[in-house]
Amino acid sequence: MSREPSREHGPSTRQGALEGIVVLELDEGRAHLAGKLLADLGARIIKVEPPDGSAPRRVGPYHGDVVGPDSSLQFWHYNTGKESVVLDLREETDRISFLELVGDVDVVLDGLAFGALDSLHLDPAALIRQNPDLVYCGVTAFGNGGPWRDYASSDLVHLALGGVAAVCGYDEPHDDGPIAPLGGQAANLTGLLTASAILAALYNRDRVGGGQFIDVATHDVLSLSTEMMIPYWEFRQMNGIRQSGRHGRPYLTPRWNHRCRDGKYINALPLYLDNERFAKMVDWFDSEGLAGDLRASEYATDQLRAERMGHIVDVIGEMCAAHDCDDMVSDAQRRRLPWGPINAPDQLVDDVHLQERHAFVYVEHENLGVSLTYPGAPYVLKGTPWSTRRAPLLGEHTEAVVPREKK
Amino acid sequence: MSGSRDVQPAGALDGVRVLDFTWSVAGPVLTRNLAILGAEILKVEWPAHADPMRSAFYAADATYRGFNNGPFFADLNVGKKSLTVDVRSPEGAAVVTRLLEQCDLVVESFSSRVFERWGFGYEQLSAINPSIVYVSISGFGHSGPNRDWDTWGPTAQAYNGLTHQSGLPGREPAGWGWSYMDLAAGYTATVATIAALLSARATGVGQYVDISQIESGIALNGAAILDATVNERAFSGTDVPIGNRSVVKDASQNGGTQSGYRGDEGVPYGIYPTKGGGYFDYCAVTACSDEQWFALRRAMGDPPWSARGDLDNLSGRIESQDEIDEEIASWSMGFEKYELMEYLQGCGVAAGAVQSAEDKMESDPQLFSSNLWPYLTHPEIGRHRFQGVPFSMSPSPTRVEERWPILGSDTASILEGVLNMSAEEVADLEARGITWPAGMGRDVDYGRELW
Repeated sequence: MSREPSREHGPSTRQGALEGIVVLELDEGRAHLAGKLLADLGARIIKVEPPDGSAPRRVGPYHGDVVGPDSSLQFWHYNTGKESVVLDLREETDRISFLELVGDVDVVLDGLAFGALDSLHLDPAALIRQNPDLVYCGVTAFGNGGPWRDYASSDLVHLALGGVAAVCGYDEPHDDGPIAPLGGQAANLTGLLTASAILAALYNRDRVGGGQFIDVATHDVLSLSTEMMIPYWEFRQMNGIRQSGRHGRPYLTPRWNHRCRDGKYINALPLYLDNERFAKMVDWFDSEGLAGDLRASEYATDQLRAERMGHIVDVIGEMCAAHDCDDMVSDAQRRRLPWGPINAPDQLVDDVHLQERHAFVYVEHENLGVSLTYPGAPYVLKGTPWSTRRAPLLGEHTEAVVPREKK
Repeated sequence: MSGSRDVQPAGALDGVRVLDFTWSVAGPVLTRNLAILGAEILKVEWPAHADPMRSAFYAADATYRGFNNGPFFADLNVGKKSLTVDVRSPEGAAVVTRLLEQCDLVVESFSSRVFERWGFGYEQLSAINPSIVYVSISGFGHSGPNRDWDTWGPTAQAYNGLTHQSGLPGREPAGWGWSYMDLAAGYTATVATIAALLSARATGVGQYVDISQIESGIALNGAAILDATVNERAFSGTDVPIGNRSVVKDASQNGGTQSGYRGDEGVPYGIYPTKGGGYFDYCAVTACSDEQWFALRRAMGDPPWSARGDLDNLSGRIESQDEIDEEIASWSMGFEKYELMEYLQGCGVAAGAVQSAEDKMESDPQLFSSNLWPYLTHPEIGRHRFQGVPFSMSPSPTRVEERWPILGSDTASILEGVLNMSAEEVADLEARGITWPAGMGRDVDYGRELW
């Protein structure tokens, strides 16, 4: 790859938005995105790990498919810009070191299981005694109360309980049950809201002073992240159904996904086809003799088109089958039809638009002698730099942060 | 700022005033989050083309389909105020300019360049108010060759790779059953926005935050991206996508495995049918460690098929995943979904019923205890449950305030309270069609729903 991903984000004289903020992070996979977001915006994240490393170091895929604590790509992505300090919190001396660190930081981001810190006598109350201006943020599966608070969970269990899986999958009559999307989205949504809550608490501390106790539960986050599904039940007593790749509805709607000539799928949204857009679409299809009967008067108005949308979508599908996906998309967008390609992750890095926006950045792994392509900033803050660096090796910063003579 | 502490403590973003030009879903998700945290949201619209989500759908018993009684709109915009003004008129633009002086944040989600054309590019905004934070949320962002392309949530998640990864092997991508990127981009924008507000508070200087709905999903798929860029693994072939699993044999890659990038791994890891056989009668069961696998075996009564030594470790279970799934799927049919979940959790196995919206609202005891859907009374749609707050804070409370942006209902109080206009000036603006279209009633009957 020859492009130059830099996105005005390299070394800069301006400081990151969160310069000066120090966060102590404990994580088992639920809190690390929040820490990464804060780190890449300029905060210092000290990640405290047990001697065998935090759990995400043991989750694949791995660099070169070689299993090891420093080769998990899962860990690499979610832990950019952090420092790793190994402390065995079961040991008194390390607990003392931990409490001393707590006294010097702005935030404790605690992603350990419900009750884990309490059992080490490091409960939030003890931490706040150590640092009254502390923002303590606990991130758990089900929260600090309720009948399920001790239940075991996983990404899939959360996607099932949170209402995500129920409405993802294939349309009738090809429904094959709920299919929960990939990518670790239960932890992702949790991480985004966790970072938001911490930043709000820091804003409040700047404004009026004082720390904060924050409680984030993945089950609550997911349960509130299914958009229209809750209002549809509350106001219509209808449940959303599984429909591939389109708006959530409690009734079957015409499909949006079509297979193109090159085998790639397109997401061809058939809504908002007002008179002008529809006419342009029909002219376009007609120029290749593929407009079918869409010029007929039965398609002349919004109302009429809505009644016959199933057939219109079939005609769109035939047009797609005759063209390659990316051509189809740019021809559609020229006519203000908001269609998109269904890209595979490996196709994104070569996307011209994303390249020009520097949506991917090189991250140096000087220990391996390589620079690797990572996702760039999820947002462009024009006035304060976003920058990232590789995830820490296990315990890489222990000596620097907790010198041996002190331990 | 008031010198004394209120009896009822203020939210963390108390005192932050937001001029909100967003519409549809992603932008309003951001400002809903800010409202929950205590910010004051002034939602700006022009009634001749009000936010289309106002008519997204109506209650089963609605007798008219107006500006203000659409439940989805009310749910998404709870806690906000409504200001109507014709930004494209010189006098309307002047009102907006004066409001910008009094705001900490201005947010819009128009297509690229629309706001700039109205005279509110970042240069103009910072000239009006140097400390203002300007956040735009658009499909492709405000630069790059596709900046003028349009997206909606489902097209954004198709473009950024999330849709492609979900589905069954050899079938079309199933993706998501709703606009995931509307939620996820709104959440991502919340992080960037509060970070920029913090920085502006510290330095006195605001900034321009350019958010692309498509890009905001890339960081939500990072392990897959790295697998592609670092391991050069294409997510293609007949064994992908991998359904509900977390890891599978990778037939095309010499005995390796294909990850589901879920952040955890194990076998079994699936959604299995339960008694009743209905549309939502399923339960997720996962064993992310050998210990959980042994616990599951015991829970199933140690059936002979499960006792094979090669199943004692993950690589053996990956090898026999099809067989394991078939066995569990026939066993799970003997239980109701909640019964199975409770039984397995009691045995130390991670399990969770597939819940519909109805299940979450009427059956889930955990959500009942966290009061996730508070009852609020809306002036036009009555007393109903609204989606609440996904986290709690103390001492700064998070809450959904019992108010809605009834179109134009806060215009006068905002102009009088924030801009110190007299009642006469306010009435004059309305009479001349600057704050409400001349000759238009205060409500409409759309007659039909948006879709």
